[in-house]
Amino acid sequence: MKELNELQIDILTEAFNLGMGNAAASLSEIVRSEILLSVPELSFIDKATATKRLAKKTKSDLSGVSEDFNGPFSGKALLLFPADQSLALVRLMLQDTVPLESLTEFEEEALNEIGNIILNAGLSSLADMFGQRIETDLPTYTHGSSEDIINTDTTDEVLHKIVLFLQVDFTIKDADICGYVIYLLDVKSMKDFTNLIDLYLAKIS
Amino acid sequence: MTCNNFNTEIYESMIAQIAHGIVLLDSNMQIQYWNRWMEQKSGITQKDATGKLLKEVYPNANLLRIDKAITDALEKGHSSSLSQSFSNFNLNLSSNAKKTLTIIPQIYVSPLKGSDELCLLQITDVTAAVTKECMLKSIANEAQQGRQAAENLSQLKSSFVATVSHELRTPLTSMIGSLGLIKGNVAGDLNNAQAKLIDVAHKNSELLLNLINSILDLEKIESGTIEFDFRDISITNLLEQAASGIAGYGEQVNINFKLKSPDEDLYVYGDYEKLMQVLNNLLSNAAKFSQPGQSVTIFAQARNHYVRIGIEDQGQGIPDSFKATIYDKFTQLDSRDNRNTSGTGLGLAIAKLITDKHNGKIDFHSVVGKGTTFYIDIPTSSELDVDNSNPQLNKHQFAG
Amino acid sequence: MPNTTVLVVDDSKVSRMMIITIIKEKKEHWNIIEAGNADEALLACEGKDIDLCIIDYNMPGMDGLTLAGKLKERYPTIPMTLLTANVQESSKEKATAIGVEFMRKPITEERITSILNMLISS
Repeated sequence: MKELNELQIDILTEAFNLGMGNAAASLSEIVRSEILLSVPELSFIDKATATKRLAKKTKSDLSGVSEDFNGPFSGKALLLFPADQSLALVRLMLQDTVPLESLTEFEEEALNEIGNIILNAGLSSLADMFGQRIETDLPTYTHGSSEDIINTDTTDEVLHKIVLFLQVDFTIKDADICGYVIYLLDVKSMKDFTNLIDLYLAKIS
Repeated sequence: MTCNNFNTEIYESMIAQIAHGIVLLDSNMQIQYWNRWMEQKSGITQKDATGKLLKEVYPNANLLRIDKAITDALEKGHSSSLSQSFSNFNLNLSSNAKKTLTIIPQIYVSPLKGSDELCLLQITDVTAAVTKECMLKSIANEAQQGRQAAENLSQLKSSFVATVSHELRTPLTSMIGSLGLIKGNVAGDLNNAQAKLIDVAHKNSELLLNLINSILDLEKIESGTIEFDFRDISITNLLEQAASGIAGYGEQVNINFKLKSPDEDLYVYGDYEKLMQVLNNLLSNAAKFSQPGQSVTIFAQARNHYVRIGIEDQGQGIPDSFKATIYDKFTQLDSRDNRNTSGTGLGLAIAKLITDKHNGKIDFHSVVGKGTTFYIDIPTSSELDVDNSNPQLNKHQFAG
Repeated sequence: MPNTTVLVVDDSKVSRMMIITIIKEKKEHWNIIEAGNADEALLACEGKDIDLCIIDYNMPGMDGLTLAGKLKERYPTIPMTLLTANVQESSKEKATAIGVEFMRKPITEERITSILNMLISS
């Protein structure tokens, strides 16, 4: 698997920061308070490494949202948080203070919506950059260990082997929450993806 | 009939019967399909809705986010999930014809697959779920408030007990001091009658002070204000200290305290002082309920992940009627020769609290007329619990 | 008259490249000082005359707004613009409060040109 070079990572990070910026603007309109979103870290890794990395970041289970997408490259997009952080995020957004210990059905839908906004914004930004159309399916709530979530329904080992791994920092109402956006891509999509980045770089130089 | 020969009518009928709202919009955002659920909940027929924009059908609704989602679907191919939590749609959907029970909707917007130009809206009634959860939340809220109130009360009690104990102790200590001096003939020689009376007064004052100290102790342990200093403790050490500490008392009351040292070096994870307090209490209890000349043996046994320290006497035993309340506060058994006039009735209650804090256990075997063995089980390490149902303990077993 | 100097600050190398390319196309002879973060920027323009600042809002370490504030102290009269994808009322207010402009990302020729025009017209 070829690694991305510095310039490619730079442009991708910038694209995602743009996307996150748009998502933050949308979210802040909803809760009527300032929200900051940024992508400090981005890398291309394989599924095993991604699973390990997530497991290391948190001992608890992960909660989040997943969305299938397809276009010039296809795969599955996920927004994940350590379970207690997703709880905290939803409560902050809903301005709720009741101390229930796990997400209620209602809050799952709320997380779905937050995740949908963020994941769509990320993909939208990439789509704009590449001048292509990326379609997304409806988001679904997901919960479990990093092992469960990343090694999900794909029966074919070849599919979804590469992971574009982003750390996302949220600041909302003086609380800092850290989440992860993951794009699971298949090998062919990876090649198409890097080609598109290079095309874009050529265009702007 | 199989799915191979379904005709359009069947599909149309199927969609018409779906218990959710289905709306199709074209690339101009005009309604091209409005299913039966929508007709029923909105009071607007498919015929009237067709060709119109959503805002024409619902002029008072808050369609900002819905419109954006539709645009995203048509122009970018993005799907969106919209809930009432984040937008107040104010769509005129009602669960009855009289329009008295408004529906809380969950709206999904997505491009219709296989078509570049159609946008699908799915509207679900989540009113019941939302209502249920609001109820759950208010229950949880109340429970939380209840807990908070209980905690506040407990804290109030703790500080009350501490203050009162202090206020009671100060004058008592003076009394004990003065009486002690008088007893020692410091204020002049006492005659027999006087000496006897002073002795009673002095002993009872000391008893009272002990009682107050025990109450305070119990309160502190219960409320967690006392700090436990946990570390690895040598059992041999602990038992030897306990035995030698009580030797003097043993001579006084003619009870033979024997120490059966364990064969190997055993260690437990605990607070030395607190464990000593428990052992002293059990030892003096054992002596109280034994006859002069009898023995009390202290021993230790290695068990699976914990150590059992036992105190065995040959005394009067504990009757069944007393067994249930033995750890309760202020319950005291009368000893045969009424030697149990110096106890507070709190010793075992404190002992149980201390062993609980160690993740251990206290228990006893007793046969009336034959004797009693009290024992405490203390874990050997900080991660364990003597309770066999504790999954942590099993985890360690497998880890070898 | 000494050459007009523009300070460009953005943690993305590619973004800086894009901005500088656009400036050079419109104003070949202008001077450009570029920096990848706030500290570098402050160091790079020390003792120099600057006529215009284009600063990325969202940077690790000291953010664009704070940097703009510091630069305003050194160069109180020059126009400054913050670039951001995250356009929120609160951020806009903060920028206006210190006399700094706000411009949406992504970086386009139009947007950069309008920033340059701000300087030319003043």
